[in-house]
Amino acid sequence: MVPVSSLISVLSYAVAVLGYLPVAPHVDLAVRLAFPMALAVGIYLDKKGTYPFTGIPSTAVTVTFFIVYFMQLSMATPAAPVVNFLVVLLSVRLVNEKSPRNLLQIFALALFALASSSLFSLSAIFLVYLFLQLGLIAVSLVLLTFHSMDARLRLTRQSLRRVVGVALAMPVASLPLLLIFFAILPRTQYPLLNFLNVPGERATGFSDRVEPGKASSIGDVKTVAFRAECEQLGRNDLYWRGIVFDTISGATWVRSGKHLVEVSATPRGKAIRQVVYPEPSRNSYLLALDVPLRIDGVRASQDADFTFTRRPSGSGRIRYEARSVLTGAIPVPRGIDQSHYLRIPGRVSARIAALAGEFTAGNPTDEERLNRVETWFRQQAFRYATSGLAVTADPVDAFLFVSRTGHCEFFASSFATLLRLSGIPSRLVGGYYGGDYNEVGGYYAVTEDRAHVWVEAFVKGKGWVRVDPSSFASNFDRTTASSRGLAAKVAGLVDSFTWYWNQAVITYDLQKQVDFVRRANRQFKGLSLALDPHLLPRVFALAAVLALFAWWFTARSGRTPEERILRNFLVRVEKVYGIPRNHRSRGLHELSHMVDDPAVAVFVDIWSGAIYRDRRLSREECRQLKQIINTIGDGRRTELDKQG
Amino acid sequence: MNLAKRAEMLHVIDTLATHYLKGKVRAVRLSVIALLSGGHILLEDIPGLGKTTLALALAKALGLSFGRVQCTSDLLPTDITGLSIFNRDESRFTFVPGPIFNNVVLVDEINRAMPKTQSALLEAMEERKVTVEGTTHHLPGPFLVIATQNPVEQVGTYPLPESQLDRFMVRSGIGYPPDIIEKAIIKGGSIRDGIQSLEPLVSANDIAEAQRAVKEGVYLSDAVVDYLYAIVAATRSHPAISSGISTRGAIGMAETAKAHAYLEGRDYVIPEDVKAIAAPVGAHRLILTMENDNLDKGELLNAVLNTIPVPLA
Repeated sequence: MVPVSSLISVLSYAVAVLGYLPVAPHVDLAVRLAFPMALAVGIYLDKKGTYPFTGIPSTAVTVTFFIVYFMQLSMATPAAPVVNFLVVLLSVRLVNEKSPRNLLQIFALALFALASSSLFSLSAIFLVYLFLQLGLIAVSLVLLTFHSMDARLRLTRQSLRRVVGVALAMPVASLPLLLIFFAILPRTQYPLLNFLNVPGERATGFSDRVEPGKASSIGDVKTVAFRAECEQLGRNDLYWRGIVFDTISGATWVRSGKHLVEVSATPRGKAIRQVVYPEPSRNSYLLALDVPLRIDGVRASQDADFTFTRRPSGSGRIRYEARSVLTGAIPVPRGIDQSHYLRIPGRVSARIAALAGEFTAGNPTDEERLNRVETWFRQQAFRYATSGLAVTADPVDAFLFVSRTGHCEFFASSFATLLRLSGIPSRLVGGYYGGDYNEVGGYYAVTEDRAHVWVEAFVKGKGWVRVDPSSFASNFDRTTASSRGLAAKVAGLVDSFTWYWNQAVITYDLQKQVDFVRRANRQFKGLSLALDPHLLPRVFALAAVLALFAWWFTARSGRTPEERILRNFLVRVEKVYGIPRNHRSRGLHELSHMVDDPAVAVFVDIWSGAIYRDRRLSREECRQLKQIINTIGDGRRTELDKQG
Repeated sequence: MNLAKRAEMLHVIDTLATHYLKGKVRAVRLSVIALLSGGHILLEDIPGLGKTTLALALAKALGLSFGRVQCTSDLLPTDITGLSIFNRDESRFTFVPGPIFNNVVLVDEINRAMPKTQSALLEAMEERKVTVEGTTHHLPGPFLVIATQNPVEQVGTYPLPESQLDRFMVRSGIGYPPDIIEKAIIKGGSIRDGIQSLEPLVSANDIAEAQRAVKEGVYLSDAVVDYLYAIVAATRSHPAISSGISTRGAIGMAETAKAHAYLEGRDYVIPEDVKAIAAPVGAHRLILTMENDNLDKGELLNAVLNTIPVPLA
């Protein structure tokens, strides 16, 4: 025969130890020593059946340590104080009575402690601890239900075996589900829950063709296209490269898809690493700062013109890491297929041809020609606008000579056409320009209205040189100025929350977890867990003041031992029988008649026998009363059992 | 615990309440409490609910002599106290004691007697002696007056003034018995004859001893005195009460609370004892203000009780 109560006690010790062991190497020395001592004292007190630390001593210790560790809490050390405090709490619970409430707290605290150990080191042994702890807690909880029905219950070995078997079946059965929900589902290459995340058909500024003159205005969509985590950069570096258009077909620029054989040398310049979180969209071009050299974290194919395409083209939420070099030129030492990049549409208006003739007069060098085109463009003072545009079959002519107003597509396609007519190989690059730097999250949020097209001109000796004709517009500064003010700041904050959510929840993967653990490890290694020597006297002073205050408070309230006993009695009766204790015009005997509990009756007799004889309670009576208080409600429970 | 003769007293209450005065346990108990604390009891209820039976049974069971006075408006004080009559044989006046010279005196319909008679009676109750023609005669002990009055009939009555009411330790109604018991009573018929054959359960000595036990053996703590005083003080300052419980009333409450504790088997008084006797002992001593005259005094006193914190420690 095994008494359930002692069995539960032993299980609770085991659970607590399983919570303590994994964090033990990472907590303060004092706390590390406190736990085994608390465990030993707790076992001793359980044997004796008295709990001298219940109430104010426990609370005082808890509050003191809470303050000590709360003061240590900072962004740099988010976990260590919490873990220390967890172990302190666990120790305090261990020296107190193992009431069902306390036991549940021990279980929860031990689980938390174990979980927090994963912040310091994540070894495979963690899983062993976890399964052991879950199993023990399951058994304890089942035993606890027996215990709450009858505290003196004893089980035979056979029935005990059955109880343990049934209790263990629960965690074992839930294990596969646990694995599916928390380990497998979030880690598949093709997320199984992705149907929740399908992008809607939405207006996008970025497209795989450049068609100026097709619409009289373009939308000004403020939705975020992608977010890129990187350092803050100058405005002129913020060209996000996406796609290269190399072929003119009528008035439309498209990507030929022709396999180019040009071999680029690695561009030189400042290297920038970005982590990009594109919003789900239908296009499969991966964006990165100009010029991107490689993209990791997603399967992608790279073309010779530094266009990266996602393979296979999916639409789920992804993240990838890009490495770029900030430069305005891509050297191509072995040259390019000149004829491909000089091909012009069949139909070119006479005045454009004449204009091009001016640029080539005197057979100048490539650089000189480029200079001339640029200078001319600048002199014209074209206006940048996104509405009131010419709808025409020859947008280049209309833009250069008639409307003189257009958006980046007009600027870029006109400029590139002029370049090609002047004998300079050129192409259009589509992507985004600019972005709002979110200082909270440390990333650029790039909205759809920042979609942009610029020109790359091939200059012998330099390679592909980036030219942004839109910047020659007379009103360019105003159109690209980023918004400031409170609304923008709030929007930024909201956006950073979205970003954190995407980063920490949606695109969270094992790699990230490992990174996080490593980072946490690094942080904690550099951290000395001892108290700051300057802080120590202050903490002690504070604790002393608190203790003094607590003492003063209890002394002032004049709580004699008798009053404490009476209060505990009334609280207990209120808890067990739901009779409010602040009914001041009710005597104790009336209370005793109301509840019909022998324990209450005995208490009231002893109590009033002293109080209403004008004498103080003897020490023996106090002890007896305290014991009686704990048995209040037992009679009721057995009565309920009989009914049940 | 030094609670002499408690068992005997409880036996009297049990026997009367279960065999003779079914459903009147409260009235019986209050009567015994009044007896033990040396006071008198005023039963106030409509006729026919067993007031007289109660007084008779009590006298029989206690083994005491019983006297009865039926009050009428022409009842003279000497009809109660007794008077000197010329004895022709001895050629001198001899004192013939009236019905008051008994241990238990039933004064039926006390409010029918004229004030002069009432006053003589009440004086005798208070002083426990009677002075007739210059000679003082002591009344026998124990001495318990059970007076009854009909609160409904008002014609031709002289209602007891408050000052006189104050002399009754306990005032109580009897009330209808519970229906099951009343049916049994109807079936069984009057039990007057049964009472006639009731053997005394205790002796006068036992009663005297019990009275002494209540007076000296039951402890009244300072805390309970404070509580009692708080009640009395609250009645004096209550807006609906023009005159609260007198000091005599407070003493009566303390005495009866002791007797209550004695019957409960305790040698100390608890606040619940005070609560239990507060209405029967205190209520009839309250004099209400004119506008609140129709309030029930018992309920008013209970309401006052509910505002006074019980000393728990």
